[in-house]
Amino acid sequence: MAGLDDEDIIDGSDEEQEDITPADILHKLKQSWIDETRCPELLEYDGDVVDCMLDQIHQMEANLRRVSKTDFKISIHKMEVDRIRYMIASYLRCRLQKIELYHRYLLSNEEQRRRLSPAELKFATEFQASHEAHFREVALRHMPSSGAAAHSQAESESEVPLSGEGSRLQAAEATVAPSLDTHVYLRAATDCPGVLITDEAGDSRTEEVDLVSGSQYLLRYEPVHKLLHKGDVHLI
Amino acid sequence: MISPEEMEFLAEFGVLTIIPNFQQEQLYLIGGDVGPFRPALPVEVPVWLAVNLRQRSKCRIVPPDWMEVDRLQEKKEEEKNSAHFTPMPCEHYMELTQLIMDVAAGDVPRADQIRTIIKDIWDIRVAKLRSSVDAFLKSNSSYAKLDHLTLLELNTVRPFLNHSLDQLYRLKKDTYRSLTMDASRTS
Repeated sequence: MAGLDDEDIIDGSDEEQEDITPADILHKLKQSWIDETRCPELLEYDGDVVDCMLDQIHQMEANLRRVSKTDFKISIHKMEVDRIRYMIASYLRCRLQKIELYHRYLLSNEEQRRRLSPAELKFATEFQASHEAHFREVALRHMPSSGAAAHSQAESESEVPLSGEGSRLQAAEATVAPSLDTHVYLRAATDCPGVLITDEAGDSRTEEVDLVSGSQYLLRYEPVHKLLHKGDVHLI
Repeated sequence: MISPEEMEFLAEFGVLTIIPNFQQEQLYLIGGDVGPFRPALPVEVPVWLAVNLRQRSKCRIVPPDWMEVDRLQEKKEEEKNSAHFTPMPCEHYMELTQLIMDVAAGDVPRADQIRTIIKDIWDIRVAKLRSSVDAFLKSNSSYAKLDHLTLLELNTVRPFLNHSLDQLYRLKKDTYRSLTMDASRTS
């Protein structure tokens, strides 16, 4: 039967996970990718999903090599693989952009550090090191004491003072942190009653919203960031 | 913020019915199985596959049931008469129409009329969206409910609206902070 040689292409049946199909994981990847590209801060790395999808792609490509080149289904499978590869690449690239921007903030905070994959952590550390070396080389070493002080402070990298009093360049001032005040578009995945939106501007009034499952909203990121981490809402 | 290409990519995750003109056993795609394909027997496939097969003249595309002059005309009237946004039959109606019309205009009866009505609906909705944005900004509310708006529609206001809201909030916050600081200093 022709069906037999189709099964060579991919056997969705002999997956290690029993309940989760590759299609579910593909859906998760799409979700993580969309969340990440819409989100102002760096989210936790969805390593399992990425690894699993890369596995699927490699497996598929290995199978395709065994099928005759003229086979009709090859182009279709290749197209699907390309689509998934695009999503993974876009996901990782978006994370790298955020890491380049926020490296100092991400590395200074243990909770943030945990969101990086080992490879990303290595990238961030090296990026920060070359960044600082570059600044030192180009500018700071030509400056009188104030600059030198700034760079020794940056180097020590411990206890970053929160407010930079005085006119000296402080590490804290050089730290770019994502702004949680950014506005985002989201869709609630489950009912989230009583989300408090505190308005730090003006009369510090607090509004309460009940997010209804399936509905879409536009609001500041700060009140919903915990819900996004839990997966109760998704960005759109 | 989000490129039109990306919107199209997202729309291509949807499902379309095609009538293939070739024979092919079931395909085990990562995103789920499709097929088997038998000539003249309708089968559901992902949009990206439908478009690709149609480009290669391997199938005809069956337009989605909402892509029909009378239904769309009704929708247009409903949209025109409603103060709020009415639910659209498809989350990616604009992108799908574009995709289908590009490769398979011949498969859709009265394609030109459909194109026009869809454009009319789009114009009505985007005009409505602009006035809602205006009302939202004036209301000084801290959130907006966006039910029944599709992604592409949101995208028309997204870059500008987001930037403005972010800036406004920042200004308000800074003003408030300096005010309270002044107050604490004088007391």
